[in-house]
Amino acid sequence: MPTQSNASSDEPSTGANREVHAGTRQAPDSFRSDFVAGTRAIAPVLPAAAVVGLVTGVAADAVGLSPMPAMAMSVTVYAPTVMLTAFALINSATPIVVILVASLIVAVRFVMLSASITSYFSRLPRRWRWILAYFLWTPVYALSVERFDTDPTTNRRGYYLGTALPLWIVVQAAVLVGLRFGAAVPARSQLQFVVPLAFIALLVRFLTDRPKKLAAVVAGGIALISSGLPLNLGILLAVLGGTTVGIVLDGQEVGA
Amino acid sequence: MTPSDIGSSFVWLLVFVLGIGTYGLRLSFMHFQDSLSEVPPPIEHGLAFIPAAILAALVCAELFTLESLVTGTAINTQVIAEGLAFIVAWWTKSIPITIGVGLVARSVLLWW
Repeated sequence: MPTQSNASSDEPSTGANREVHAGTRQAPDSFRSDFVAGTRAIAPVLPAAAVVGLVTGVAADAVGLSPMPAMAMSVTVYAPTVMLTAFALINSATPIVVILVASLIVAVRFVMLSASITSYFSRLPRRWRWILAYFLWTPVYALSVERFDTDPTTNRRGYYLGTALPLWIVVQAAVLVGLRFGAAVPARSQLQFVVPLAFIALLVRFLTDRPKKLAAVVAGGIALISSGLPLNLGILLAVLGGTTVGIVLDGQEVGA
Repeated sequence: MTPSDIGSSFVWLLVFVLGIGTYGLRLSFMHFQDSLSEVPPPIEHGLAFIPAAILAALVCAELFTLESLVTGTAINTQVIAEGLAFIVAWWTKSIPITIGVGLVARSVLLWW
């Protein structure tokens, strides 16, 4: 994992840990270089994202959506898991309320990402957080948090957007292609396995100590067991369980 | 399913509600993080476990869903391929290599 050092280190080093999460104000130069760093970081994830977008576009077409509302959904929702859930339910002629509830519950993971990442942006004016929130995705979250933790001087807006914007562009383009070419997309069932692989690759970067590893194991276990639960509630439980175990273990190891 | 099966106002309603709903969920905590310029250390500590937990949960949830959709030998194939990918990821910490190995492993195992 390359460590990017910022071009401009003009700002005085506060040195205090309490600044880590709040973030210090960055010189404009740093925005650009950290944006580039973000883009570089997200680059290997882009093919997987393209596949996801493709699958979504194809699914939209298969379900019978016309291109206009499908693209509108892709842009406003910007969450293939939500869209795919909606599509699956449209197919079985479900009442609209159920489709809405089911799809939004699938999006609960975004609440967790939001809760977890927000402390890094606490110094940012609200309007910026509104903008950044739109682009929130698991890889964006994972890469950004990892970077913010290892290099507190990072221009967070820059890095975050550096990961988020290319991803957005790639996903929307892929959805468009999937919509346009529909069933002509080959080996669709093969390609969708890229997603868990990308997540695995991102996951290992966070398994830095024993409590974290155990948190992951517990979360994974709960997710497996409770995957029968409807509407991805299993994931919420898994995260709660894993985080709890991690905190408990961490407290024990530190002895505090 | 033909386009005529799905009323366009129905679809646009979905677009609108899902769009607002999803964005709202994303914005949720990010909106309210306002006057708190500091996160209390215990909470900060706890939050650090969320990335590991959520990624692990997403991987395993996906694993199982795929399993239930696929029959017979493919179940083991997916688990093996992802297990291999995990080992490779652990060793190389590289995203493209992990994905590449995982895909190749799966293709080889399926073909076998």
